[in-house]
Amino acid sequence: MLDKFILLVEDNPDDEALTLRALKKNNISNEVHVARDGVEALDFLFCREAHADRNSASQPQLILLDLKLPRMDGLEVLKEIRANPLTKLLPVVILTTSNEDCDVIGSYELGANSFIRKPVDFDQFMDAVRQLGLYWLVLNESGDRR
Amino acid sequence: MSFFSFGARSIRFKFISTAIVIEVIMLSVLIWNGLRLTNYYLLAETETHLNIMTPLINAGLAGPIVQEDLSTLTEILDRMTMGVSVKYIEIQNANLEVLVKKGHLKPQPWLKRDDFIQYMNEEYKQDRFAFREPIYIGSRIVGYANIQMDISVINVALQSLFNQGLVIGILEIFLTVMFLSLIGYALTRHLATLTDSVKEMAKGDYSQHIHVDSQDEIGAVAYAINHLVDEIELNNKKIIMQNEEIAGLTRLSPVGIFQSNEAGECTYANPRWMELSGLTLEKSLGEGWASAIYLDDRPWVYDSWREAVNKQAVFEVEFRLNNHGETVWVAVRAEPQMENGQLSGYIGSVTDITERKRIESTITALAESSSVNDYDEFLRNVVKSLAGAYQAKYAFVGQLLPDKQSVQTLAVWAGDGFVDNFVYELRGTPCEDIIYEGKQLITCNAWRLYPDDAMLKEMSVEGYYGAPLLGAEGSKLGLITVMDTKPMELLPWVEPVLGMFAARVASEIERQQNTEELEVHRFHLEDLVSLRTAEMEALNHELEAFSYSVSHDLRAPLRSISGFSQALLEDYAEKLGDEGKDYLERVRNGAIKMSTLIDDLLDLSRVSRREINMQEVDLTAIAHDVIAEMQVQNPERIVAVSIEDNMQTRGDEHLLIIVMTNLIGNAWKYTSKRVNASIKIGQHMEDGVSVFYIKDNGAGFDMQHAKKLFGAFQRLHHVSEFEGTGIGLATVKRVINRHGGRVWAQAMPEKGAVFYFTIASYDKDISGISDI
Repeated sequence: MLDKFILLVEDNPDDEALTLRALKKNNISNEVHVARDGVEALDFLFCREAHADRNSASQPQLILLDLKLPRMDGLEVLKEIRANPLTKLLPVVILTTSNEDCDVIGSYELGANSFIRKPVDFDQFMDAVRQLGLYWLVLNESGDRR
Repeated sequence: MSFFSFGARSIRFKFISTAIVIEVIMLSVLIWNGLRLTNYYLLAETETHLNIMTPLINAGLAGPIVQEDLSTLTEILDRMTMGVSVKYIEIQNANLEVLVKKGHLKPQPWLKRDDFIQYMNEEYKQDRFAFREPIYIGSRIVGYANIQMDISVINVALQSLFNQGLVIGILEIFLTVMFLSLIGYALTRHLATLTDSVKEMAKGDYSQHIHVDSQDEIGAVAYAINHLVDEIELNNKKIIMQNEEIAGLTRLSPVGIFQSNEAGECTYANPRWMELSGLTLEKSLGEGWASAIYLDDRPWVYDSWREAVNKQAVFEVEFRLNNHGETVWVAVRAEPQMENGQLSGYIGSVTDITERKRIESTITALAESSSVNDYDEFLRNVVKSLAGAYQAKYAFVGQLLPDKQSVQTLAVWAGDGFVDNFVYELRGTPCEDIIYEGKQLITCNAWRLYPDDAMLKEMSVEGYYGAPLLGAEGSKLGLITVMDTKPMELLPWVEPVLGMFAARVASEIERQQNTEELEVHRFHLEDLVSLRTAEMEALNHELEAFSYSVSHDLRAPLRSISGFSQALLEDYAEKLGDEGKDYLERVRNGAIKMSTLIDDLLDLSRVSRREINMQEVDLTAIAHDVIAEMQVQNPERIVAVSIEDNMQTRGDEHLLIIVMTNLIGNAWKYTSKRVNASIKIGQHMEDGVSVFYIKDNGAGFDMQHAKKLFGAFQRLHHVSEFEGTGIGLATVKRVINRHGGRVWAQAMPEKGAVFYFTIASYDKDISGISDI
């Protein structure tokens, strides 16, 4: 399970902490790499700039992607992920505060695998993260493994 | 000759016949009366005679009868018959045996002596009166004397009297006739003279006066007739003079005049007709007149003339004459002349209407030019019509330029076509006078009157008519002008027609100016609209960005509050104590509630921002889904739900789901304290519109607060009783408004509530309806 790490793209430190806690509480002990914005997330995935020395063959088991991000927003990041053969099959779950139609529809159109609204009520979020972990980390084998 | 024709006989006849009739009547009465009197006296005499004779007979016969002394009786009888009056006599004894008799017996009944007068009156034609006279001695009848008396002598006397009267009468009538004839002749002689004279006069000889010298009534009549004759002769002279005057007028008439016979053949035409038609009188007579008619018009004019003559109707037509190549329009009117109920002919007039026809065609041309939409084409039509109407070489329309010193022509007709427009200076031209002093009607010498106008001289303009073009408020727009190289005739219609053209052109120029101005405004307006639209779009984008931002950024801190409160509660529960936990719980609940509020507000703003996507919507299905979801959220609730089938409408499905979710959610919420909660969802028709309703038996509300019901953040219950943000019904109302429908409620506290709504039935884009 160790190499099955998660990439969390989140600019809000509170949300980051809460998400990490939720994962921990749900016994999802995979390593979580956090990117603070869209550009950083893509640099990490494509082993550029600061991450140039990273092994590009090592890709996250799951990407949790916030939509509202500095520099490059989540939908653009998603578009880049899906455009690159290296990452186009990675499962991407959109994590967002918004429930605007354009966000939901846009995400799915660009190839998001799931869409989770970050609820204010933390119980609900915990619940959602638990199911998320079960599905994407345990039950569903990532495409590049097939 | 019947009696009734008596009145028609001559006065002489009437006079004599009347006299004869009167005379006959008088003589008849006289004769009849004579006969009557004579008869009376003769009878009275005879009766007296009888009455005297009877006692003598009685005295003489009584003794011999008793003694039967026949010889004495015979002697008495002889004596008695010696008078001629006794024709027969016999003596009988008491046993009626005849003793003696004398004379010749005529068998007839024996009467009594007293019956004589009666017998004579009744049997006057008999010549004998027979009677029986009893012979008495004392009171005893001893015998009878039967006597037949001769009464013929009376009749003879009467007959001779009658005959003589008749002779005298006839003689008298003869004399009367003779006498009266003489008098009658004397009387009627003058009358006959009168009659003969009047008969002469009837033949037309009024010069002969009646000569009657008598001073009587006939003389007066003759005098009166002579006076009458004088009057008639005077009148005749007047009529002859008048006829001569009429004939003179007819010759001089400016209107053609003609006469026809009963067959419709021309019998007379006046000189004016000959001028109009170019025909001589001889060529006009009979059917010849028709040859003057324009060839195209000839058949129908001739036919309608024939038809009028056949029907003896008034003939009234307008047609063209061809007078040696020149077209002359005429109006003909002829009336039938009747004599004793028979058509004797026609008298008619022929009026030259060429000028009128020209004005008509000009006006028609003007009217037709008005129907042209194109401004330039209209102006060209106008100048062409103008030149045609005035038979002038040039015509143009000019517009005064803003400098007020020069004119720009808009359309110019020159001779036989249009020429290019040009600009010219007003100074020293008749155009200047037109614009600043009004109309100009110069019939000749125009170019000499305006020596400074080079153009006039160049074109050698003689006649010049012009009128100013004035705007509705009197502004000077320009002018129209007609010019000719020949002098122009100033006919009465010239000025008004020019005025009419000027008015029409002026209004068109003004309209054109208005149109151009409007066009400028329209472009400006369009610019303004697109500017505003752009502004609105920018605002809308801003609003959307704002909503998006609210949706993300406003909620993030809440999530921190709620999330870390939760973390504290879970990870440090033992250090917090119960009071601390309670406070943290409240912090967390506050954050959650605020999040709900943000969600609802976003919903509300989204309802307004969203474009409406009209489609068929199945409200029944939506209701079932919503109820099912509610049941999932509150599995412990037992609610009797009834949903009507087949509730179909047209609308935006997404927005209608929001409506149904809110209304059903409310019903679900407010029945939560009911043991036997029930919700009914259905529809009914009202004024041809489907009304959908959601009915519950929940907490209800007081109708006096119903107005607040659909306002944002308005709540009729405490949060402690029922949760809610007070935005749901505001959202419902906004969605229904955007669908052109209506939403309302009826409720009573603790008795439940019913929410009704309609969706506009028309199928059109109503996305513009919004109450943002």
